[in-house]
Amino acid sequence: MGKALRPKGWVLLAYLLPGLVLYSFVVLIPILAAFRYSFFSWTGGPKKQFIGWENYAEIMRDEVFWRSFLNNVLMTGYGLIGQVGLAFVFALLLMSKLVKWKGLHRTMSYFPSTLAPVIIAFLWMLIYNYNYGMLNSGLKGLGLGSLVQSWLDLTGPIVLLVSIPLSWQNIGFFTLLMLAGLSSINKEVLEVAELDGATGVRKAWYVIIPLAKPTLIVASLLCIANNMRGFEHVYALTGGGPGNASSVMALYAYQSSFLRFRYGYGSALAIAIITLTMLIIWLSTLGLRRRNQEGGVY
Amino acid sequence: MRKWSLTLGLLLSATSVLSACGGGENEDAAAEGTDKITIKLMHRYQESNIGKSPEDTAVLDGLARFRADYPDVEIVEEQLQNEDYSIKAQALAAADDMPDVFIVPGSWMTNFVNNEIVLPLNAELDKRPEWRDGYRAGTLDAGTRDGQVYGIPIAAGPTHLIYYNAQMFSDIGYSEFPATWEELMDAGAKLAEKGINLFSYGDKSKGYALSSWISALTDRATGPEWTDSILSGGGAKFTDEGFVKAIGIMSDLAKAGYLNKDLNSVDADAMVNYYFEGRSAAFASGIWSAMNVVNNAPEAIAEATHVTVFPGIEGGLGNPLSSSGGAGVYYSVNAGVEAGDKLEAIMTMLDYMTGADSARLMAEAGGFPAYDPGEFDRGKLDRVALEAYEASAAADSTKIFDLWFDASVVEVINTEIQGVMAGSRTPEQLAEETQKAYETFLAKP
Amino acid sequence: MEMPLELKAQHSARRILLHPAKLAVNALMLLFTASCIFPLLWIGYSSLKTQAEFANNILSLPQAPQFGNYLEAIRLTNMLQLSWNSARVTVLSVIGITAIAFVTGYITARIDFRGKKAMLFYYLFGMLVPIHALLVPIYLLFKNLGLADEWYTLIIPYIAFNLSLPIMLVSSYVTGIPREMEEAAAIDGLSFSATMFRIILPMAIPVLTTVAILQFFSCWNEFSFALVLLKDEALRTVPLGMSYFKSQHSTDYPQLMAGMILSMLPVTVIYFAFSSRIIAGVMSGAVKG
Repeated sequence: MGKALRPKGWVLLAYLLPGLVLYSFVVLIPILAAFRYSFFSWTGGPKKQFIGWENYAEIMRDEVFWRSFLNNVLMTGYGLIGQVGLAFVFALLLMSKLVKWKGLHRTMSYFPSTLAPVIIAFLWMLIYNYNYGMLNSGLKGLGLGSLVQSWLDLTGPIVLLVSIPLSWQNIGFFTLLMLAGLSSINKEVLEVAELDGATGVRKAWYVIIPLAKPTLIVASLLCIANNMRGFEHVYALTGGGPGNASSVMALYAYQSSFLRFRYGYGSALAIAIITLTMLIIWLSTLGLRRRNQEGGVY
Repeated sequence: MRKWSLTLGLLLSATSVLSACGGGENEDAAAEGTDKITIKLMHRYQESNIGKSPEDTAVLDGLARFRADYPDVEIVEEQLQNEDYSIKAQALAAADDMPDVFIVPGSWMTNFVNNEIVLPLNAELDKRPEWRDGYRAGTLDAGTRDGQVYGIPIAAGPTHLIYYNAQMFSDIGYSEFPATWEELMDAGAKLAEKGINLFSYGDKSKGYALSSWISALTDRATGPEWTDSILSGGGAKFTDEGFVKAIGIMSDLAKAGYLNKDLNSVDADAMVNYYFEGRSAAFASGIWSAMNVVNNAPEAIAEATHVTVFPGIEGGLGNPLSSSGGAGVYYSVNAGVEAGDKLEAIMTMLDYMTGADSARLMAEAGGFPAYDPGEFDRGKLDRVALEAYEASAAADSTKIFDLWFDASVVEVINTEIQGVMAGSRTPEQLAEETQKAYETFLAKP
Repeated sequence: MEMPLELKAQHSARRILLHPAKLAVNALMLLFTASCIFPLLWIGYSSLKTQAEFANNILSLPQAPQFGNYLEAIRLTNMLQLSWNSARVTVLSVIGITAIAFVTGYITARIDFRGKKAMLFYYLFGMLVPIHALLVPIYLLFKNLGLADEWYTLIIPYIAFNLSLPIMLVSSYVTGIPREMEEAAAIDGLSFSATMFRIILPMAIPVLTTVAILQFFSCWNEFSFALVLLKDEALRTVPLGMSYFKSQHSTDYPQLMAGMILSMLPVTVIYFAFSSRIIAGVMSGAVKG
């Protein structure tokens, strides 16, 4: 670092401050406020009653919350496979000579990312619909009529079914991220793999993985953060149903505040979500670091 | 390190100042003009539904007439769609920042009264006895707490009616709608053989089950005394036999396969569409669906459609002719509004929006107003709408649970019933969970 | 491996078409791509159907296009007003995001200072915040400061909640720019600010374009803040307008879809006009660790 480049402290501060102030104002203050409310029994209006850690104690016992948490974890798992994993494969395919019309694929696969979650949910409701859904018509067309289901009414695989639209929407974004991260890889590596067949693929794998690791880590962290606080798709697609089968933490916190008038408890849930998400991210970076000593992005 | 703790301290104190609930300061700028009154109004009736929904049509017409007659009163209006309204209203209520006049569903009323968000209107109503007495008996009740009236009702139609395709039932040998649950199950089996669902059902936007099924069914089993006991905390329990039995009937229908398979994942729109497409022989819904049948059903279906209510339950304590109904959604006034010209103007506005003229228009458009419209031009009503109106007027109306029970209890039933209908929960489990939420509610100060 | 280039290309092209596995891979990719564009087409032609037609068969083509659905949608929602509001809020937010992300990203990429890591972490933290669980405190904050219900209200949270990823993208992009440029600038006597804006800014245009366009979509589609923080109907944005089509007890789907097409129009046009640039930008700005 050349000394000449280094500005005075106050210049630095002047540049960084507007962003920090704005960000703290909208992001941090409400969280601190929520933290304060989380110690109250508050049903709306001016009356609040201080109850100490009671709300947190209730969270520990709240089966619905922990079920929602598990659903978040499950969704994150599906997301890592369906968004990051598939995107990685797509990116490799798009870099290889295997696939034609690359420009078309890149342009189109990103398009769903530009759509509002409501529209995504609307589309997938019609795909999953029992009577006129495309999934069931497809199954019938293939002679698999026995598999026809009322998909969103299944309690078992509901989290998977809700995760699929999310993956479909985000795959384009992650593919681009991967393509960018992999752009440093010498194209010849992949060509060699193609010409040499299976052994070549294995060789290429050893070359690609270390190079792709940083990008994979960042993509995974983004994916974890998105899925742990996920709300909109579930809200629009199933509303957490049937019953609580597809409920997620943010949805549950929202329902506690807005449907049950429990603003204090809702605030405690918000704090719990943030804490749990940080915990999971911390654990996963720890895991990733251990395997990749020099890795880790931040 | 010291800098850090200083920053943190500053931040924390800033937080408590910035996030403190307002309260106190009243935003009504009375000083603005001499006579100019401004009323802030937030409701869930929308311009875009005029002509489609009787309630929206009548209420907004009343508002337009008021505006024309009182040009001095400025109305700042915010129209929101149903679900959006709930979220917004609750955020504003938590911040103690409600507008002057707003919509309150009965299930919110206890909370709003306890938090002093809504104004008692007895004194104002007593000044206008003619208007007050025009409301149908019982329609003010769900908005009344301890004798104080906190809300002006709008519509009072039943939330439970059965719209059925008489042709389909006569094809399987029923010249009338089955009169007992045995007959109904038999009809269900016969229809199933033909690949037709007895009822179509759509509970995606939770709440449908409670308003159109559970309220009426439970009353048939337990009678109205049970409901009253629950409401007054008089010892009745959700684990009582009658309630469990009512849920059990719904569960049986679902298990037998007499309802559409996607019952939890489609909304009421799709439910009605299944009926229009001939996939089902009937559906249970409120009076609001009458105009949907009139406007959108294929001709043959509309012609075959008749209106009735659930059969009685054997050994049940309730009236088999009853339907859950009565008013449940109200216009309330902000507790911060003081008696005076502004309140006068508000009451007059509410008279325009829900009183005699509005009621007549609502009835003529196919709705069931809370205010008794007296004689109105029935010739304007289509046959199905008229049948629905008459069934509503004839039915002994029982309480709509989702509007009377506290929101915290309602939320639990709404969620659990989906599990029951999906087969992953039993009616007994639903009853236990509901009872738990109910006891929590009772224990609240 | 010593094959001439053209020959190699021909060779692999033939292999692609002949080899069944490769054929399958291509078919799958095409299928996925088709699925991505299908919604647009489907919503597009369905918006021209009558309500009865749509209820009858949701996949069929319209018999006679109902352009009236669009007129009605525009009339009901006051689409021009909504679009203007959305455009104003979105453009200003995007400018704010891009500016802050550029300055912050550049500084964090190039300068070491105490608390840098903490600051980056602090910005990343924003990605974990479940905003739907915090609507009440956010509303209270805006109300108490008198910032609710103004034309600029939404710009504030839109900037703040969209800073995390852009800062990360800019920072890693700048890391990839050789330092020689700045060192040369320093020798020429350029100040820090001049270097940042005159030398680096032009070089960072690709990543800034990407950031701008990525965040454009999330601002344009945002719903919850718009619902809670605005009261004045004249300030409403496009996503709020979609609820005009849902009444309490019935929904006119073709009209809703006409509304969706209108709401997507600006975004879609921008996307297809700039897609090659967005993609180039994302790829150049990506995180290289």
